[in-house]
Amino acid sequence: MDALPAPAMTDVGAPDAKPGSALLALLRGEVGLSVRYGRPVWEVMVPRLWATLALMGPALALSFLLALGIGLGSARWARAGFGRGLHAGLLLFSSMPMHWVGLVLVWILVVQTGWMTLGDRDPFADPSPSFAQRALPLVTVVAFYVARWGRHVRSVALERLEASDVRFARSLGCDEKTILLRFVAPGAAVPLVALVAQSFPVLASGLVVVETVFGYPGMGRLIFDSVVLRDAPVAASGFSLYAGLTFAATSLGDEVHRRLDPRVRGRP
Amino acid sequence: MKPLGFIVAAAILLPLLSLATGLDPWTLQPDLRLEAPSWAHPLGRDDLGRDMLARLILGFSVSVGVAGVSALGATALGAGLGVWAGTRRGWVDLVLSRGMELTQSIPKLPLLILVGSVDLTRFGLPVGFVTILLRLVVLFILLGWLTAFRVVRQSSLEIAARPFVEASRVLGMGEARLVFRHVLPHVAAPLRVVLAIAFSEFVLLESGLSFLGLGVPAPWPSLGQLMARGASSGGAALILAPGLATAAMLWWVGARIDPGARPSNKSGQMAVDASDRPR
Repeated sequence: MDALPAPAMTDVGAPDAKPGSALLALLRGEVGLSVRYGRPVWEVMVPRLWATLALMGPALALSFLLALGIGLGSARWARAGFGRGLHAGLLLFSSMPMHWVGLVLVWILVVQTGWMTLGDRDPFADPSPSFAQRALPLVTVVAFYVARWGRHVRSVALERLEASDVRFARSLGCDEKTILLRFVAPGAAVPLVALVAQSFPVLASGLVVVETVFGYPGMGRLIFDSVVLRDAPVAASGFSLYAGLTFAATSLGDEVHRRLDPRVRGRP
Repeated sequence: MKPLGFIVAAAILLPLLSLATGLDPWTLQPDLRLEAPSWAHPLGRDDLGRDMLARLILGFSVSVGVAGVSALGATALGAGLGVWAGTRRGWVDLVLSRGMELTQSIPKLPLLILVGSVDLTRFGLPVGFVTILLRLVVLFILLGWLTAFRVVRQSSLEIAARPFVEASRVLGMGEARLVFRHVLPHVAAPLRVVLAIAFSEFVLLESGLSFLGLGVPAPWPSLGQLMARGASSGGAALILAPGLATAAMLWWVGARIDPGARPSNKSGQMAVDASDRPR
């Protein structure tokens, strides 16, 4: 760790600080020094936040699209081998703990075959993760969320495929492709949006277990370490960020849901 | 739920069976550490020389115990509150529904990490297998009652408005009897699904917590704890066995929950069965 100039900020925990100065400092966004790193909390947190968003943003988008596609496919061909196979895959991946999937990936690709290296690096000296550190957690997270959300899409789509409006369209001679894309897909996508919004805080604050398995320098691991090592300023800031994200994501999800779903549009 | 019954029965019987056949999950044999699987020890030995099969069986039982008790508790709590909110309505419903939304917005894993790292001795509690497990169960129940609440509240709102319930009330049936006679039997079927979902969720959650070292304490195994140990020791059977056991168990539970294809809907043909006929 290279030497940095001493941070030019007041230590909010100092005993000689004026009364109320901690509150003022908080309003200015100064939340103190990390006990573990001896640096301002934001300096520690921001690179971690970017690392987490760089991993979880693509993971979220990819999971949404794949869950929709696989869920719809497994419902459309539910009686055929193709659909059953997709459903079996969804069940399998939602039954496996995420960290175990990651473990097996590391064990096969890194330990046994040596095709990839994870590397044990200092997140401050070299904050950019290696290819394996990016790709393997992405695969792990996507597999888990596709399975979880895909099962949801499948059950909604199976219901929609038998709904009276869909059967009416079918009786008018509408082909199955149009039915799937025009009638079933929107019905399945809207509840999925709400589901994704609910999961966003978890993803954005970092999945502790996944980051632990892959040594990924993200937010989840930072919060976990700060709790275990009693690094109070970092833990408090991390949880506050988390709370804000939860609030923002839930509100946004509700708003999007309201706009997309005519059934809840009129309700407060 | 049939699978849950079988799983609980297995969790009780398998450790007894392994005890009877002389598999020992406790004795340390450091000179035999990471012994490869053999007929006498089908999954080999772990990094401290303990028999892996015996530990897997015991860990399975511990995980099923924690998840099962938590799922039962959470479902019972949620169902009780749901019936209360659904039949009383008014401010009871208002308070409980807002409470549910509040609990829903609390992310589970970070809270569990926070509470899991609290030192129990500060509150004068002994730190042991039982207290740590109890803490886990209580937390799981406090965080997991939401689904049962939502389902039961919705059903009891609908059922309480039905004519036969009104008739019973007019005939002088008490509220408590009304709930047990009319409301609870109607919510029993969806509650089984809720119970199974809660069980799967808790197995995964316990596995994650134990993996991080905040779940089941050390000499005792659990599925997540075995995964973590397997990862640090690097033996194939030690890594694969606990995960495959978890996956097989939850697959079995999950396959019973997911809706199947309607029988007559082959390649998009219009479904024609009894429920389609005009009533």
